[in-house]
Amino acid sequence: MTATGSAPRVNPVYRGRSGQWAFVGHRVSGMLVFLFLLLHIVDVSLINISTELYDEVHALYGNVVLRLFEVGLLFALLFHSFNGIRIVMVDVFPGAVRRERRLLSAVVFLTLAAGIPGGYVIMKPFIDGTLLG
Amino acid sequence: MDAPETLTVHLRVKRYNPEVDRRPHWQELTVEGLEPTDRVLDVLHRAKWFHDGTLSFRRSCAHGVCGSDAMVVNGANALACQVLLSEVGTDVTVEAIRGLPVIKDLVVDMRPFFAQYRSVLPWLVAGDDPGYRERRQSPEERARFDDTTKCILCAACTTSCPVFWGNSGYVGPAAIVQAHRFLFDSRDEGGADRLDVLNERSGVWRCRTAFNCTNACPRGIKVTSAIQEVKRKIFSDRV
Repeated sequence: MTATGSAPRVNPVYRGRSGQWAFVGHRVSGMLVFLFLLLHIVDVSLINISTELYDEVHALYGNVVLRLFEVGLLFALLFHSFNGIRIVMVDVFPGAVRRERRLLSAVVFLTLAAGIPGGYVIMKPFIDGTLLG
Repeated sequence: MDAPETLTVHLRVKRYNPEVDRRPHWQELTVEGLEPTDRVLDVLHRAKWFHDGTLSFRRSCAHGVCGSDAMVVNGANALACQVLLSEVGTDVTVEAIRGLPVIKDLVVDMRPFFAQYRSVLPWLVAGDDPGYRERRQSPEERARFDDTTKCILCAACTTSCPVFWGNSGYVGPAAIVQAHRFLFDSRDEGGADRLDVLNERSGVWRCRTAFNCTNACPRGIKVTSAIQEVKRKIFSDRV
């Protein structure tokens, strides 16, 4: 029997396993870090125009929204760095290919272990001032 | 004796005829009278034979040897003749493998895939004439490339690769597996020519180790592992 009417909802995403999501995470985090690098080149080069402008723009980084952005940047940098080491290990050591899922678990663990305290330090002025103060 | 329990499968197939349709659409079919030991291919057979004869798909041996019926089954590449209903349940979604042009429904144009296969010189290159004898090798030498002799060229690995989806020029996992089969064969002398092809921009270095190919291979070949061995061979031979 053929059904007619509205189109069924089908998930278009390929059902890959952890390796596929590590690949996607690496691309996305790499792109975020690259975009930040462009922004960073612009904000640092402002010192060529005037020191006051440089100070004004950098004061914006104290803003809560940009602090949250920096926390995201920290996680992206950590994941990209640790996963980069995982990819090199998979390329170089035959044993790492067999253990790639365990290596990815280590990447996620290290990203969280370094990112959560790091994120706390970045957000500390707001946590101390608004939530705990 | 009791009649065996039968299943009713809710089948969703991505239909597309490029000569008529502007874009693909999903067709839903209810297929009855199946058993848990039936395969997705049996569902497609019943759908075509008893419900809609215009449904197109490839299959030849129907027993996991010829590699004709690779398709996306419930979101991941598989051979339809190898997936049992007891594994996937009664909600089955099938679509054509990705990254190759669709000819109709589940039938894709395999010519780009086979062109990539041929590009790695997938045959024995040996200049010497053994005369009225065989070219012998030890069991250890034969075992070195045993895993990659299992490939049936179904394209499940290549069309599961996210790098291949974005760049159809990438030679792809299947071609690298076939190159591996000869690169590590003690009788072969064509390694340098093969490595020239695989060391190009579209060669092995495009592999970003997403492991989809290894998970998709219906023959259980350790595809990523083979690709990494080829990378390391280029590295050790050329650097």
